[in-house]
Amino acid sequence: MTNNHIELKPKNYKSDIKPVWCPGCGHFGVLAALTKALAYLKIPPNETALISGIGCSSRLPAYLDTYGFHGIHGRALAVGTGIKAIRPELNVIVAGGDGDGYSIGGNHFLHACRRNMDMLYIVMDNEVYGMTKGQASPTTAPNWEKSKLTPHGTGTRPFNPAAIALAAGASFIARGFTGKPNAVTELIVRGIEHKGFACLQILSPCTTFRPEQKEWKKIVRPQKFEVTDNPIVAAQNIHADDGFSSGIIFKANYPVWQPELDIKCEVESFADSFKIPREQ
Amino acid sequence: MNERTDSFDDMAYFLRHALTLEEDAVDTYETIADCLETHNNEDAATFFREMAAMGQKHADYVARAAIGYSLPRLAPWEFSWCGDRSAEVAVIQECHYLMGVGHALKIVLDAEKNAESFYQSIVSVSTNLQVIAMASGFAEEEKEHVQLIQEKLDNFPLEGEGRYHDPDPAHIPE
Repeated sequence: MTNNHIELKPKNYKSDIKPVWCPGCGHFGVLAALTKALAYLKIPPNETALISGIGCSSRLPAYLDTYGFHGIHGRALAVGTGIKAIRPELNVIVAGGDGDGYSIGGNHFLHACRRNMDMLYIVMDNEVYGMTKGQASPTTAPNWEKSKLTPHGTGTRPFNPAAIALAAGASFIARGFTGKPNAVTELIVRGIEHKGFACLQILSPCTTFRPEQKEWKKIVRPQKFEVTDNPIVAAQNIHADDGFSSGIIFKANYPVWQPELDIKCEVESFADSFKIPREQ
Repeated sequence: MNERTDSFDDMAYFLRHALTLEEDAVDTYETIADCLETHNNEDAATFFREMAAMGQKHADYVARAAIGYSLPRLAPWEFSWCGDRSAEVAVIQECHYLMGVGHALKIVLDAEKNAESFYQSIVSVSTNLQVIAMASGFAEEEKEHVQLIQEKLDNFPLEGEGRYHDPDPAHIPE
């Protein structure tokens, strides 16, 4: 990552593709914060790869003028891991929603946390599957009854992203809220700067299927505890919290995993093995 | 670059805020206009597009005023705004795909009021007479915008709840 290039403004990181998100969607706040973060860090667009899965939030790569890959459902972290493995010099950012990241991609989430490759994972959490018209996701409250698939609520306790990330070995865990875009920008910057796997949950209201989330602006507040590198203290803080505190919860210096590349490998060295035997 | 003072007694610090305020406002108005165009809401999109064009003129004016100053480089979270966001940024979360110009006027009115309050706050905290004079001028300008938009809003036909009725809504029970 270099930052000696020409200074770009946030809008210079946006592509010409207009977002199809609903007007009022929280994801616009993430888009704005991300472009501001990249501009602040002076990371040229061609030194960033933004990877996503499937869902409303996973449209994000199309709206930025960086390298991008709109992957398949739940596999954004697998793709991001592969890109980081082969192109370690790239600033890899993986983005998606709560369904993509915590349900379909839940297994990848666990192992990305423990693997601790140097990348930022942004989960735009609106507690609903929006693109498929409003079903309960892993982070939906058990008593949400607005979906016909769960008319009496899910009845199950919601997924706690910070607790799971901590248990799985993530080295950076933070939570933001799109109603506070400049604070989200700082969290993105800190996540990119962190050496290791940075998990950033961003509460991002869904104006269409969860209009009641407009009230989040009255609930979300800066966390009352200090960032810690002690996982026991972090666990206590996470479990004592209602999930609406924002800030950096946990930050530790864990060994970063980065495979060594055998750049000496050339096709000529194994081309013979692929020769088709001449018919006798 | 000069040493940072992070004080509104410093003209460069003030101008950095004024310029970012206008640029962020323009960027947000353009984003909203793009989004509404995508949702075939041409009336509201055109309104926000015009607001962006006006905002750009203000940004250009502030940029000209800043010539000769070395503006400090501030992280987005280091600005001394009154709230959680840049002072003249429209709150995109208040938008709706069926919104009319009346609804749009209310959103812009709030943004302009915030900008006026921001400049007024500088007038009251700065001890630099040049900064006070410029901030007073900008506050007066924002006040005019507030009055203009309020007048438009007062004379604008009320948008009833019916406006938000969509016979083919996004939320189709599955």
